[in-house]
Amino acid sequence: MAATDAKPHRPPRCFARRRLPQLIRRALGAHLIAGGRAKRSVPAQSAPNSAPLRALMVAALALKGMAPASAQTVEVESAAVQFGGYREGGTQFWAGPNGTLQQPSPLRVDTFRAGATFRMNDRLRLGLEFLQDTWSGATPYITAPEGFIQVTGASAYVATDKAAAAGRVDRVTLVPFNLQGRPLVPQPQIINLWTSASAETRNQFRASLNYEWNDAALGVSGGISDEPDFRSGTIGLNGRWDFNQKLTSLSGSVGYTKARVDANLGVPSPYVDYGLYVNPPSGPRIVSVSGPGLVLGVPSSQTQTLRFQGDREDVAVNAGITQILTRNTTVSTGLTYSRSSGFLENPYKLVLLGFANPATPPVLGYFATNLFAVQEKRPDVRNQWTWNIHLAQYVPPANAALHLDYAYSSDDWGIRAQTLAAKWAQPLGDGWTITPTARYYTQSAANFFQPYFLFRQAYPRNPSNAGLLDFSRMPIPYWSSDQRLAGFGALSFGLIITKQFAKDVRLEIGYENYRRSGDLKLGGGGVGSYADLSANVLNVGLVFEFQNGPSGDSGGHDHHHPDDGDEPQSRPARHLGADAPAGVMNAHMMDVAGGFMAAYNAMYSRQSGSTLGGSVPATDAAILASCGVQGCPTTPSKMTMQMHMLELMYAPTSWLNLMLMPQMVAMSMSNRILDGGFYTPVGGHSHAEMDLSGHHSGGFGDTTAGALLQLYRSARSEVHLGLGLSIPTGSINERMPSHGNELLDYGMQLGSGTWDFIPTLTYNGSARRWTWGAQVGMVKRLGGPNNDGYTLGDLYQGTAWVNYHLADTFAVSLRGLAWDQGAISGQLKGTTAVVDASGTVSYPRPLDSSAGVAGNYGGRFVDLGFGFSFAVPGRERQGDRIAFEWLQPVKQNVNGYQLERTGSAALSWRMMF
Amino acid sequence: MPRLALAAALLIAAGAGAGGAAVAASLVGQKAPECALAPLGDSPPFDLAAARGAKVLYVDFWASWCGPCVRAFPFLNALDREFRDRGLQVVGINVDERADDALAFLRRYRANFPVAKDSGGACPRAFGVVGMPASYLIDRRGIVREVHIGFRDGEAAQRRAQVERLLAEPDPGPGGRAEGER
Amino acid sequence: MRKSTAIALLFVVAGCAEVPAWDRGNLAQPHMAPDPFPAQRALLEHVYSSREGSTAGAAGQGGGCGCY
Repeated sequence: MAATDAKPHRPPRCFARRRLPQLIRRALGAHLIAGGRAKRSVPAQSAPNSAPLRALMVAALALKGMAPASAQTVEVESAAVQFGGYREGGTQFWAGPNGTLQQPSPLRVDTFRAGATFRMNDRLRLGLEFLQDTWSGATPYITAPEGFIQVTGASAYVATDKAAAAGRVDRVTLVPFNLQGRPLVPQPQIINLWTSASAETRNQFRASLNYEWNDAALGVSGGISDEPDFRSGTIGLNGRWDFNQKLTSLSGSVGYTKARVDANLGVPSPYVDYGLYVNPPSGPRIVSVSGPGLVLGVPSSQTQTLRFQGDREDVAVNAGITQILTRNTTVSTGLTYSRSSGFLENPYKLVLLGFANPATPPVLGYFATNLFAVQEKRPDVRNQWTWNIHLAQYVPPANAALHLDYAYSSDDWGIRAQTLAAKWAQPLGDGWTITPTARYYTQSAANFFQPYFLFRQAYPRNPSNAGLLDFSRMPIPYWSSDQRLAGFGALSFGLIITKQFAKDVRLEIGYENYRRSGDLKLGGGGVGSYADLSANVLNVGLVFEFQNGPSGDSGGHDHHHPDDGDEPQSRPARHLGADAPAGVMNAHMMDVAGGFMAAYNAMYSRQSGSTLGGSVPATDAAILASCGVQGCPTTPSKMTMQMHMLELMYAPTSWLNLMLMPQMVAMSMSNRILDGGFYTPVGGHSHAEMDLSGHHSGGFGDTTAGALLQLYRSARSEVHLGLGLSIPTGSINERMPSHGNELLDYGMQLGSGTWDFIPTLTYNGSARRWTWGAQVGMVKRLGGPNNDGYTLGDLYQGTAWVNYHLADTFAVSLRGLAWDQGAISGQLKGTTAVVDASGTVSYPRPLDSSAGVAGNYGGRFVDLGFGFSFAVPGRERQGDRIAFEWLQPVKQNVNGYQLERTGSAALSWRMMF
Repeated sequence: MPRLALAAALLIAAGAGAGGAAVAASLVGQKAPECALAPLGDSPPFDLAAARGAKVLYVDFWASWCGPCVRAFPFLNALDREFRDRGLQVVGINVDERADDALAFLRRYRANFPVAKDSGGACPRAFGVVGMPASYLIDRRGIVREVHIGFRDGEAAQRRAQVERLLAEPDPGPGGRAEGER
Repeated sequence: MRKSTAIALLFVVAGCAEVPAWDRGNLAQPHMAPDPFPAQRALLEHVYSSREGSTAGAAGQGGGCGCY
């Protein structure tokens, strides 16, 4: 992977508020974006002390219909950034008869969410939201009694040998025998078999528009969600009508979602009977798709992988009423009807169907049972009704609020569910609120759910293939073993802690422990303990609620109190660096003690096109040669990386800024087969059939902490030193489950795995409408190789930029950037120990791609950056800014052979407090 | 039968809520009500009755928990600053249950006009407040001329114009001023 | 009790509540909002719908499956 592996750190950009004469601001309302020029022409000192003049100006403007407290301006109203993590555990693990099975890696989901709302005018509100989550880890794919499972080494699978009847059940009770040859036990252990899929990242965008009348509101919303196997679009309409002096509110909503499923089932498995979905007359289907992979150990672009495809639609309608009962109590209740249709099966789950043949000779004390693993079959339609009621009770002596929720839902799949939840929101003073929460959920199983199915009949033979099922003669219409549809109860306890800082910023930390078990089902009869699971959910977020008055009279953390008689300031030195392009790190320092800044930075970079050797396109033969003696079957054809960072900066003094930046990353890689490529397995693990089309990875990345120190500052220029430390919080244990669980290559890991020292030296200058700056910096890896056995190369970087203000609140920038990414030392560790003749143990890693070669990393690059920035509407006074920059690669000279970089984009939204 | 019951219930519901609105609406053209105000924090006491006179009165009921009040305050400050010399008296009447909440709000959102409080509810009830904030424009003769419930930035221009209109009306002199009723 | 009568009763109850506009301070507190922690609820609801059979459901409330 290319130099973008440096995981560029985005240290804080400083920022200084702009002080405009109060009069000017009022006179023009907030039309600052367009009005920059006009403001400049007003003499700085004239207005504030001259009341009659001021009044005259205001009156004049009022006559022109432009009220000082302007009603029609766009203002940002709120923003939020949240990081969340979900970690599952507590699942039953069966180590196999000889304890050889490996514990599956627990399911893990990392979530990032960012959103903002804008007041478009008095009555119209726009909301935008972006969400990204990456999940990885193992999920159960089939459930079977112990006796039906075959274990070889570290693999376990259901013994669905189509010709032979591998299972045995008691002739009378139909209870499956325990492991072959062992005596029957009344309750054979039911076991989940697990599979780990490659990590999957989902991106979701939502937008909503809301219009308010005095006693009613109407909103429309829409969203799209994209993940490798599922793409959906949603639209919704919601409304509210208040009457009775707003004591009573009616609400209603309608939502429609259309989704397309395209699940990658991997290479066809000989153990699964796909017959139900191959060439169906309608509905979901399984198709075969060609792609890069291994066929009989030989790389081929025609490797067949199976895709389970289908469409689905969901419609939901809701009506509710909220009523204020007393000065301390409100109650609301609602009814929702939802209808889902189309592809409702879980494409990744298999169901065990066992046919105990009653014609088995009685001398064998059992029924020989034919076992089949098949895809789920669920009804095409699901109708569900849910009724919920919510009570909010204010408790005056504690100043607390108690929330109670109850919901009852019922659908035509047989699932009846109830939820009871309680929250006690307790303010503790000084802006702290602590809220313990509890929730109990219980559901009954779907009609067609069972851990596995056993029928006392010969299996219906497929007329064209005796070893397969005839799905038109099945004894039941639907079947599923997905534990979501089982009977169980779930109990969760949580805690939400919030702290209000300044008046605009709130920190929210939420934790919940969730436990799901058949034991917890109301009324008993829940699913067995094999389906137990527990999870911990933690999220940390910042919520910004901007209190903008039309005159920007928001008081609060102004270092100069806003007052009628405020002195306008000439452009102070602390503006320097405020307009550095979006992609520059550490460019700006806050120079007033007590300042706080939060910024959301996003970056997207992409590589595709030719594979370069040095600076020229390389031949496949050369790329193959870089893989050495063991060769490699593929080389990357496209790579993308997304980073979402939250930059937090605080100035304890005027010459020191402290910074913390957590981030979330997501990478994807697509491969193509190399001409002449070949694959050498390691340690006797043969992977005759393998899907090599690509990989994804994602989750929390490394966290940077640091400080900025002011070295020199004058009216027109300043220099500061940045000292940063990258903390290896990003996982370097990302693996390829479909490839022997080997580690993903260097660029696909989420962090560097090492503590890195990041010094930078920045210079900023300005003159009238121009600002410029330059910066040199480096990333120095501290300590030896990381736990995977390698160290990323050091990075040296220099950049310079100019920025021109077309208006006070809009600027464009041009930048040059050059960097040298050092080569990797060491190399990725494989999973299999190989002992050579002299007894040395090594862990060679088989190469599935040229990206796995340490030598194909690093290089020297030059980019040109084009950007623009504008003030956040409604927050111009505070200096909030949104900036965008496109970085165009101009020169690339790579080490080894790497896919060329086609460009990257950076977005930055900075908030100052 | 069920439909009738539903209709009846809706009517009752609507009617019950209409009471306050009826009072507020009927105030237009009537003499402004009298009510006693208490001082808020350190601010000097404000006498509503005495404030009437040659001045146009802009009475605004506000509370610390009322969102639109945050946006109304800068507007009220602007009105006060621009028209105080021309005879406008802006007064903010706070209805918070706890004075501390009101004072915290004032520390954050400055009020340059006099503020007073009535936590008992007599004053808002007399004025028929049906939503927060509630503003009442009282002319120089002591008659309520405009009632506004709620506040949106877009209404500022219209209210300002109404204030100008009332300020332009001649002062009827001591004899023409209506004494407060009730 | 018949459903329609229950609904009618609800409306009558609605008519009986008398909380004047100036007395709604407690109800206006941020932690008394029907959804005091929307960010938390959004994340947790996604967790519940991925592990339970009835909560909103995949693609129920808009947004992708993200099922895990």
